[in-house]
Amino acid sequence: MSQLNEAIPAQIPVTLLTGYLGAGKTTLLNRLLTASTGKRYAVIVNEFGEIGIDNDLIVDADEEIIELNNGCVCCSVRGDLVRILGGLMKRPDRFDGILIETTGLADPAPVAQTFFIDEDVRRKTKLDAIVTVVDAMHFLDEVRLAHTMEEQVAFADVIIVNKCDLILPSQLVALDRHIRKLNPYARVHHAERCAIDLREVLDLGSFDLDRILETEPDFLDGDHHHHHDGGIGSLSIGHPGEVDPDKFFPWIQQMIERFGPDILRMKGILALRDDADRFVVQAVHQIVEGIHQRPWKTDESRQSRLVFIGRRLPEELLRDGFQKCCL
Amino acid sequence: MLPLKSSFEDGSSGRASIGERKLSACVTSIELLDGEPVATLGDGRIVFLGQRRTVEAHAGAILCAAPATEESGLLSGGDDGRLRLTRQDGTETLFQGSKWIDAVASRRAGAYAFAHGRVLTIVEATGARRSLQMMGSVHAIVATELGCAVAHRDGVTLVGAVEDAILTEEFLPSVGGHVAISASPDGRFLVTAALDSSLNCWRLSDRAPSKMGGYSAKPNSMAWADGGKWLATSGETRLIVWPMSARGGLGGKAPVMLAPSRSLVSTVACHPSADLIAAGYRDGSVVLARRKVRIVRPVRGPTNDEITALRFDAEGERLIYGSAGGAVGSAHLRNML
Repeated sequence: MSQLNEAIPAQIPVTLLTGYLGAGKTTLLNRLLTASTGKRYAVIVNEFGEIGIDNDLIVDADEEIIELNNGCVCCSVRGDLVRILGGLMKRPDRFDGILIETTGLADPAPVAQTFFIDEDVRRKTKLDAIVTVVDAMHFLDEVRLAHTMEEQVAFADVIIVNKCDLILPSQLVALDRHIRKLNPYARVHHAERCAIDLREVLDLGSFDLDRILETEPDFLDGDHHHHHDGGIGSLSIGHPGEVDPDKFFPWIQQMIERFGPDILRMKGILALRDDADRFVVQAVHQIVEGIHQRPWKTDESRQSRLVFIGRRLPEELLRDGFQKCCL
Repeated sequence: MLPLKSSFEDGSSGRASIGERKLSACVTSIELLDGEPVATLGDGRIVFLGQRRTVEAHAGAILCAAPATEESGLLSGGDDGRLRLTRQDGTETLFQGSKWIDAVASRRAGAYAFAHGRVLTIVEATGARRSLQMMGSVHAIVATELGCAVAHRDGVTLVGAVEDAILTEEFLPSVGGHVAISASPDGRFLVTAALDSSLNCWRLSDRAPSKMGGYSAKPNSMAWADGGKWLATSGETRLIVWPMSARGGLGGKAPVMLAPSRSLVSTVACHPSADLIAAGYRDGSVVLARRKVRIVRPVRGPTNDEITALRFDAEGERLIYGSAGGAVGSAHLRNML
């Protein structure tokens, strides 16, 4: 990053709502808008559905995916979002946030990548969270048929399992297990008619990265690798200490270039040698970015962890490579 | 802060004098109406800067504007889905749709074209209106000798309005998202800025394409000097001025680079006759540069308020600028000429 002499304007948080057809995205959207009284949101939808949206400013997008490099899906962005977000920034009234509802069939990658790749979009907005709504009744049947549903779950920071009242508790356990296999790092909430506290969905901040350092029952044995038949799996690699930045950065760059198409998301928190700050990295396919997040607190143990969600992840290669970067 | 009007009357001091005032929202463009500078704003207002008169033209942001030829009026498109025509004596709605009006361009003799979503609508001076579906949503339009050129995904469409009843379309492909467009005044070149921060060019005599990548940001602002022999662009931490030779087109020779800064150039404008290029920066500063002698002169210092519009007046005596924060001001150029 070059040192440019510019004040960084406050970035407006953007929440991305995904989910398969009929899962309840618009219901969630209306709940959020109703519950957040006194706040102003711009809502970007793809098509006006049968359910009306109760908001002053609704923008009609047209899901236009633009490939920046010839044929590489990893470098595709949503051209319409670049245009719409640019237009919204011209308005004088500051929004508290922007909510984007995608169509049920949308691949979340180009939307997420838009917030990493496009310079104008990055400067003025930040992706706060990807929220995926899952239809409890139909997910397990439909996921076999639709690749998109898996990716929507794999990409999520927050997953709302909706219509939980329509299935048996045992079915819900099986559903949770399936979702956890696809994405062990997202926050999962159970809901009926998308009733959820908006604090669980809005203004989460920076992809909720702290979560990856939390110990979960699933992860008591440290490093973890989940796989399932559909090919999407996850991998968590930890190290109870520091990593060598001179080794780590070339290595992760190489891994991302090589396996980017299969890596849906990667997140990491690193304690770099000779660095007082917590360093956080994240990637969507081949787009990686890293920032100094904040100083490590005195009561925190300096540790490092990377988590990957993707298809056919080369577990041994990633694990061995990372170990070589550890101090 | 000096009122703008005093600066318009001033100019005897022998150095660039600046008057500046604050308008109600982001300046999205500055146009000239009967010689008077007019600012379009992000809150839908159109401000006649000399008279300090304000017209509420749109319910949301004004996204695009162009002078209406022969009408002494201003065409403006907004995120309220309206295309408006504003004159000294009032404003009227020419079109109301559900999509944003993202681009408008005027042609000779009262004809103009505007875009809403994927639809391009061409209006002839006779009032005849025809619409075309483009291959992607339209980001920008520029008038050409025969019609207009439209920037969208994966290239540009040249639309020719040959006769009242016939529209021709020619697609010039180039992978990527094209978000800004400009045509050289001599009709030799068409250039676009694309999402991958590249500048794309077509030589219109044979449609030969050329492309220049490596900008730090999208070179959204483009201006032509010397009748089309030079192209100034934004998107770098200095003013980039490309020589546009008939043989080489873009990139045939190295560009002239002027006025380096730690901030990116956001807006450029070329003087109508003299060797003078204005550059506005993201940090709010404005400079005037002479290409041949490579002299750069500061007009406005950094304020951390991005320059979003620059325009020389028709006589080339003043430079008017506007910012994202709503600042608008002008500088006299007498001693620069």
